[in-house]
Order: sequence, then structure tokens, then C-alpha cells
Amino acid sequence: MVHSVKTKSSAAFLLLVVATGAVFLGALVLTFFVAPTERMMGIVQKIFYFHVPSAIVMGVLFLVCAVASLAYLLKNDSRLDAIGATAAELAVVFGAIALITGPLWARKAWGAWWTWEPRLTLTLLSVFIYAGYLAMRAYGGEKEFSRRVAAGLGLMGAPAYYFIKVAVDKWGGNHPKNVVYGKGEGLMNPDMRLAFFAGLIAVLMLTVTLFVMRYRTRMLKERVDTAISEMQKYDLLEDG
Amino acid sequence: MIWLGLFSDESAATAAQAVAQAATSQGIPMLAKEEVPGGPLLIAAYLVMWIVVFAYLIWMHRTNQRLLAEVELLEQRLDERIAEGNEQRKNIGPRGT
Repeated sequence: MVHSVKTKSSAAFLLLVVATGAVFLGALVLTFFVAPTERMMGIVQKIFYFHVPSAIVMGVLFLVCAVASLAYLLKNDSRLDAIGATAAELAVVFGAIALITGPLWARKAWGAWWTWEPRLTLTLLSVFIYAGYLAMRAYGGEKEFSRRVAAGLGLMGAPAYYFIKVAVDKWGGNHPKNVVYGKGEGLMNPDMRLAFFAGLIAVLMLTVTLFVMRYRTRMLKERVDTAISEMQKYDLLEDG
Repeated sequence: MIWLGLFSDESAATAAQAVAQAATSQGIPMLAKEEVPGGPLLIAAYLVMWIVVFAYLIWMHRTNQRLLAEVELLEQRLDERIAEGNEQRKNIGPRGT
């Protein structure tokens, strides 16, 4: 029975990996061969199709981490801690992608690699918060203590997400108010929209795939650590 | 605001003006006259994305390998203890005599 569940789970994961690869390939085809080249910025605008989805995924992961951190602080369940930590780790990964690909596009679009405009600055600070979360877990000393302090930091994800989202409305800046839809703004061409949504789905599927992989590893590590401490308790590991 | 209609063919000129105005108002050094080649920037962006993802995958693989090594060590220790226990039981005898 257990073997059957494991086999089904492995097959589902393999299917997810294959589907992610296929969707990614489709998104790249739509980006480079279907969506037209934007007239003013030229080919560099095609960064948009993975830069914006990476930023969206980063925001979603901030929220997941915040909710999981709150739940962990209330229930003290190691699975919730693993969800929060995995979300934080991936938020830093996709935040790094958004923060590196953004300036490459900005150089052409804005004429500068970096500007200290509200959305950019808030995104950078939020990624630093989550890098701090991961550093706290790695070097924070006693496991339970560092996990709880990190969970406290993880809660910052909710306000960070909110402020990044409303930054343009409240404080202006170079980013557009409506990236995809909007009256007279956003993506006007239907092929561009199609490429964007394909990119978004591809990045979301990649996130889910990486999330499942990392979460499984974390839970396995949790079991190994528990087994080691149990064995140490009964002097079964006294040789080191 | 600045990317207002940036992606529509119709409003490219308006968008260009908006970019220039907003950048100037925020003190951003505009390089409007300079022709920045988009191709290398695009390639760099896609390379960065895949490098970051693959670096994460490699790091995850190494973490898994370390975990596997820990599990193997645990299994080895457990086997040793079981063998020691069996040896002790054999020496003590069936009724502890």
C-alpha cells in the first residue's frame, strides 16, 4: 500500500517535471516566434515575459511564507516550518531573477541600470529580509529558537507584498500601474498577452516543481535529524 | 505610469515621452541619445535566469547527496549495533546464564 502511494507520487512528480518542460518550451516559442517585437524598445522587451512572472511568483511566495510562518508560530508543526522555509528560499531565487533581469531591461528602457524608485527599492529590501530569514535558520544556533525567530521574519512577507504591490499607485516611480491590463496601457497586442500568460504558467509550474523537490528534501532531513537524536538518546551513536 | 502603453505599437511615441519625462523628474540619467543594443541584454537576461535556476538545482542535488550520506552512515551504525546486540545475546545464553 505504502509502496503503491510512493510510486503514484513519483509518477505524478515525473509528470509535473515533463509538463513544466513542455510548457516552458511552448512559452519560449510564443515569446520569440509569435509575440511581435515591441516597436520602441525592440527585442529587449522580451525580457518582460519572464521578468514579470518571476516578480509575481516572488510576491506569491512571500505570502505563502508569511502564512506558513504564522501557522508555525501558532501550531509548532515542522511541516509548516518546512513550507515557510521552502517558500522563503524560492522567493529569494525568483527575487534574484527579477532583480537581475530587471536592470538588464531598464538599461535599454529607462537608460539606467538601476534607480532607487519605490517598487525596486522595496523589492530589494524584501529579498534582503528573506535572505536574512535563511541566514537566521542556517547560523542562528539552537534549532527551535532560530526557526521561531526566522518565522517572525517570515511574517514580514505579507506587508512586503502589499507595499510592493501598491508602491506605484502610492509613490509613483518608473514601473507601470497596470502591467498587463489597463485602460490605454499594458499589453495591447493579444499575442503579447498570450506569450505573457504562457510565461507566467511556465514560471508557476517551475516554482511548484522546485517547491515539491525542496519540501521533500526538507522533510527527509527532518526525519534523519529526529532519528539521529533518538539514537543519541539511547547511546546508539556514541562513536560519533 | 512610465510604461504607459509601452507595449502597444499605437502609443510608442507617447510612451517614449513619458519615459523621458519621468526619468528626468526623478533625476535618472537618461541615455536617450545612446543606442543600447538590446540583443546582448536579452541574451544576458535569459542566461541569468537559467544560471540561477540551475545553480539552485545543483545546490539542491548536493544537499540531497549529503543527506543520503547521513542516511547511509545511520544505517551502517544501526547494523553495527544490531550485530553487537546479537553477539551479546549469544554470549549470555538463552536464559541469561
